[in-house]
Amino acid sequence: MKIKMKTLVVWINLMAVVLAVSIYAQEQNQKAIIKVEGLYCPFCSYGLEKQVKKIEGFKNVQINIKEGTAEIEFAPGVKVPEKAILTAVEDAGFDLDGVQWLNKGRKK
Amino acid sequence: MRIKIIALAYVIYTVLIASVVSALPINSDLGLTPYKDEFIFRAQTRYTLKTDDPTSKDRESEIVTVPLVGVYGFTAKASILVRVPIIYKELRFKNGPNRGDHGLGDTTVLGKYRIHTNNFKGGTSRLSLLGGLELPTGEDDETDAAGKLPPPLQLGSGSVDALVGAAYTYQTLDHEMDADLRYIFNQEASDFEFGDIFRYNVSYQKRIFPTTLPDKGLYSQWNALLELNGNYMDKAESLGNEVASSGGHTLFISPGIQFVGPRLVYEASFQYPIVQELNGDQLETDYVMALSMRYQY
Repeated sequence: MKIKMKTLVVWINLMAVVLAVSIYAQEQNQKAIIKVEGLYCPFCSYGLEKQVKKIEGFKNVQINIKEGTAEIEFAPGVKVPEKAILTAVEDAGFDLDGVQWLNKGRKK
Repeated sequence: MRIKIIALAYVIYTVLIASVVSALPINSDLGLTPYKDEFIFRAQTRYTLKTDDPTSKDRESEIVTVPLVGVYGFTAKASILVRVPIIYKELRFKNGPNRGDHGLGDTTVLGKYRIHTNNFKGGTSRLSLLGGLELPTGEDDETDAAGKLPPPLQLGSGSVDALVGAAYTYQTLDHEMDADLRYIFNQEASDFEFGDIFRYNVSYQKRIFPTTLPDKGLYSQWNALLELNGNYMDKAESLGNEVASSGGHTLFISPGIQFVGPRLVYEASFQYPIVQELNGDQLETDYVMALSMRYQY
């Protein structure tokens, strides 16, 4: 009986972990790394940050001026057309050289 | 003669304060192109001292200008700039009362369109064309105890003056070069016409701190600058007659320093004249100091 109880507790804990991981995974933001040509200084790069904030579902952005990239996070489940990213980059005065999605399309 | 001298001083002064809206160089206003829907505010204080009087009058001139500038980007390529200067100027004589005025100067409205862009990893090169008007919002009929102030001591020209120009910039993570030129077609007002003005500026900037860029995020940096700021001026005309002591060529060498953050820029420049080929007996400039800040919304 003792063994059965222990097994039951283990199973419950395991299921709880699986459930938590599953919920966490479903709520992860979508991430895109974009390559931007023309980034050269912090004052100018702030414009890019401001433009990508206008994209629906925007959550966060981390710009790497040195490498000419920006890592953008969007809310899960929101469809983000690449054209919106292209427009944001061009409105900031830069050129888009590529978009790499890290975990696109996760839904709640 | 006094009016002629002051006229030329005013022309020089006008050229100097015309350089108020720099984005990148400090002493030229033509390099800045905001992104779409961006608004940049810039405030600058410029102090000009002129004490080198070739005549025996021992004149001295002090000019303080505070240009307030707003720039708005309609698109990533097209922007409009409005500059409203607040001016204080005084001409002192060894024997005689000082003359001068202070208040609002002429407003400049300038349109800019980027016609060439070459973006690459870690840099860009851009060429823009400019055109605009200087509007007579400054008083041009002020008087003092001695009567109506001569045109060069008035705060405004009284005329609507057109200007055209071009600006080129080449920027990388470590260096930046800018060059621009501008021509101002001055018009007659109250029987006085300032000479046309041709300005040219070349600027070199180098990032001095941080020496190594961080891998992520927006950072702040310090730049060292060296500028050459040149002005050619035609002679002025008064009642249809050429003003002998007016016009000439001035070239400044201008070291400076700049703090650049994601939303703020602070900068300072010292302009020292290395060429002053002035017609007639004009006051020569000793130096110009400029302090400014920019903030983007």
